[in-house]
Amino acid sequence: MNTMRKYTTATLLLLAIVLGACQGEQSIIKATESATLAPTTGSTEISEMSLYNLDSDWQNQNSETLKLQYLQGKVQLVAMIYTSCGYACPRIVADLIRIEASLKEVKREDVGIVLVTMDPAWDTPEKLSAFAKENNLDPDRYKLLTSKQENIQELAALLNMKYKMSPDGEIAHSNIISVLNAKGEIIHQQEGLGADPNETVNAIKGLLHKI
Amino acid sequence: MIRRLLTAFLIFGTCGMAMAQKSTPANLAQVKGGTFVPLYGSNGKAVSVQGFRMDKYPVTNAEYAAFVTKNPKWKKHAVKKLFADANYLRHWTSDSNVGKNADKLSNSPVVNVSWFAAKAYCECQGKRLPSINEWEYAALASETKANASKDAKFYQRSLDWYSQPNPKYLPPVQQSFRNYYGIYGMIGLVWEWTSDFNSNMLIGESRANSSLDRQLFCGAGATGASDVQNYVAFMRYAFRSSLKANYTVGNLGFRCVQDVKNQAIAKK
Amino acid sequence: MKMSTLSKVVQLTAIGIYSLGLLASCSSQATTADNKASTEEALAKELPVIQAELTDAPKVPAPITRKHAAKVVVKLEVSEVVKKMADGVDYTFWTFGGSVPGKFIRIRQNDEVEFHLMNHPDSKNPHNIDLHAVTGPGGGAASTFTAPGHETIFNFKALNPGLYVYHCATAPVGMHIANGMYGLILVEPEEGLPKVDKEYYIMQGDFYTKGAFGAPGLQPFDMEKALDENPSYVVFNGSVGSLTGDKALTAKVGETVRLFVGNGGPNLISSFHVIGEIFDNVYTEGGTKVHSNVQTTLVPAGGSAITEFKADVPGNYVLVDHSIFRAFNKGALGMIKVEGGENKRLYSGQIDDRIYQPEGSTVQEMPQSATPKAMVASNKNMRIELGKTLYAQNCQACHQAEGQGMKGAFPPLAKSDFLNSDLNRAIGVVAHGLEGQIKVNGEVYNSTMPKLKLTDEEIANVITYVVNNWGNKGGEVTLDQVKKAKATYKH
Repeated sequence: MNTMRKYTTATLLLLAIVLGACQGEQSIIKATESATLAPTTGSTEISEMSLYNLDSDWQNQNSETLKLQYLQGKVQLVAMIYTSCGYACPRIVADLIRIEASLKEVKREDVGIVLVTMDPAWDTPEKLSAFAKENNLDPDRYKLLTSKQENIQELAALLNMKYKMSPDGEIAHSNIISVLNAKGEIIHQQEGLGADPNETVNAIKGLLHKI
Repeated sequence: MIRRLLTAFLIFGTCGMAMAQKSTPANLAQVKGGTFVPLYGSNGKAVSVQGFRMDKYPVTNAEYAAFVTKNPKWKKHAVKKLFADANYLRHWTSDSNVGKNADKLSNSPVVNVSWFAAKAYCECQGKRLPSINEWEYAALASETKANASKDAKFYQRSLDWYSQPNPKYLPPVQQSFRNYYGIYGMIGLVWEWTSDFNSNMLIGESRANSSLDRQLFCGAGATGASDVQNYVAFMRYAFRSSLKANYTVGNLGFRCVQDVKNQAIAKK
Repeated sequence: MKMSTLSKVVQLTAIGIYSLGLLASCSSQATTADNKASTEEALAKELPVIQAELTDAPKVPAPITRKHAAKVVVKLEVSEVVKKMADGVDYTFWTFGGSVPGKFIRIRQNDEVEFHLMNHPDSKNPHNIDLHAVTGPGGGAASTFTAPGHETIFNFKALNPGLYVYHCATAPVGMHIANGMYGLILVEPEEGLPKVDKEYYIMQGDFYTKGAFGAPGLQPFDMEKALDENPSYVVFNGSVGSLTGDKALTAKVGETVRLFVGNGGPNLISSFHVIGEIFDNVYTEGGTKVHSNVQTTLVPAGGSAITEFKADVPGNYVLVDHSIFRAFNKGALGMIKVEGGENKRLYSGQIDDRIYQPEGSTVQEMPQSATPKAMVASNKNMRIELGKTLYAQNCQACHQAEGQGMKGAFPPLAKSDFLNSDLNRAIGVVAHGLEGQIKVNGEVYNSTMPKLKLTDEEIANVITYVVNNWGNKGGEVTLDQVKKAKATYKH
């Protein structure tokens, strides 16, 4: 069963690469030589509103290639950042750490945190890895992801993010932390920096209660 | 699982075919590059727009039906709610074509399509959705002028159209006005999707938009409008900012664009 | 302190945007709703759920009789519709509930409102709502930005009693309001409002059309006029004549009438007045403070007033914006018909109407009056034109504007047998005056017509005017004819 699934995943991945051609020839994924991560949980059924319906390929801070579906099976907090950002992104991370602090009694493996870059040209997996180390982000909990610009744009749209790249490299963007349930559906969004994390924490706890 | 594979192959097949036809721009109009001042996002400064080719007409129901037939995952009932809300292709009585009102609507702009659907359509034609700036730039043109933004008559006609509720049946795409570039119906048919519809830091509370809330948004540029009297642009930007990527709306369609020859995308 | 307020604001906004984002989605919607409900469970559980009754102007929902707070569900649909602005004039109104003004919402202080804003799929534009009764960012606008074919929901608690305006606040805000997107929400105080016999809903608004007042057809919005604050129409309840004729408001003598008056603007402040009534009470600006014995009350744009009066005397009472050109030239006119028995001690009606003939008025000859050189008519039309002015100056006071005369005192000129049967006699009467009994159209008149100081030319003009009006026989009186007739008809 397990091998079967792995095989299928690989096939799908291969197809996805070909499918990418729908968007133009330049879109061949380069990371074929590095490790590929398969989803951790049993279910391959993806619900209608799950963000894991996005079939795009992503790379984490260890240069491993994965589908978003890999995140399935636990509650995920998702925020978008770019590491060269001077103002909001450190604050967003601070907000996430604040939320984490209120989740002490929750089992660590039940909640993951995903940071997605808005600036793939600058934020290579190496840069993301360095950013994680600088901010002392626990690699077991924090996944920092990058992908092609258009994949990021799609994810951002689903997260109700507004963002705009300026020619000078700065990115104007909204500050949103999204809570995804184990199936990958958005259950709660905290908007704005320095917001009271209680509601978000309650949303997470509510989900864990249900599991 | 087998079905998924099959679907995937089908999509591949379609797009391969579309790619082969890519070099025939019969239905595309050339828009010469230039500069203009967008209502939002540039701090009142002119931005430059590279030349591009734009579909002469918004995508029609018939064209979209052909796409759906070849890409069954975009059929009315097959589409995932994440990618298109419950009103997706609401005006179609059939799963893969207009159905009952085909005689009236085949040649009218397709509406009730989401951003994801519009994007997928354009990509499978070897094209893409226009950016806001590209769209706004092309929409400045009246019948005779590339930039008619100071033309009172043109302005009033646009304002009038934006004030009217939708007609029962949208007219065929050829019946709307043809602008300077040979593009039809930029104003007067339907609202249109843009690739970066969510790139303006506007919130639903329009009166608070004149100053950027640093808590909600991080960004360098001011968000104030460059021309507070340009109501037609206000309405377009307001409309866009009311959307989410899976929304479908009864007067929201799209058209595609294509880069001109040298496709080198400048990355910093 | 500052921080906590800020984060509250941010949170509220987040909730709004959040609910907006999930509305269209099916599968997660239920989960979300469950989730949210659980956080507010404690409060919501105790309150009974009531569907709000919404009414179109001039109707008002029934007064609230319950003695406890409730969870009130309000469902308001936005639609863009072509409707009548005046006879022969149409306009594309953007509405809360299908007409202008929007539906009247009536709730009680401390009610918790679950507000649904639906935007009709046929709408061209996105819309939202700012309810002045809401305490929170944008009055709900931030939480209700709704694309066509979508629905948004937010909750608020009605903390303050009063009569509040609601309106759309989508960019361009002015245009959304100018197209009719406003209405009233009444938050009754816990103890309720004093009982009255009749309640009505009246809302003023100014409209800016490309064509002038009365220009026919479907009129587009005129942005220039809106910016200049120079409306083509100022109306009550969305159109000229919405409260007159068959649609006039009614009351019976002895009844107390309460008017919930709002002003949507977008620009003008109303000087609200009922001709022939004095407001016994006015809840100034829709608040709690009551002013008594008010003639005219100001209703600001985006504001309101509650006015009350007792209908004591039967008759027609005209509602106006007493910035009076708006009333008579732009449409701000309505009517309340009060029926019932008269009370002559309160108002007698006309008791007498007598002739008042002071010395020295127009009828007397002035010695050596140097009349300026009069214009000489070159044709019949010009005679009529000049005669019209002469008539107004010399004849109208007695024979009246339409030549109808005054029964028992001044004979009619309209369709007058006395006049039409002999024009030469008429010339004589104008030239020399008339005394003694005459019979006109079967009625006997016995009063004095003074000799008028008119030139022959003027006599020709004025009689030509008279015979070409009001059903008379027509024709032209010439200078020659006047000269001859003057000589013939001397008394």
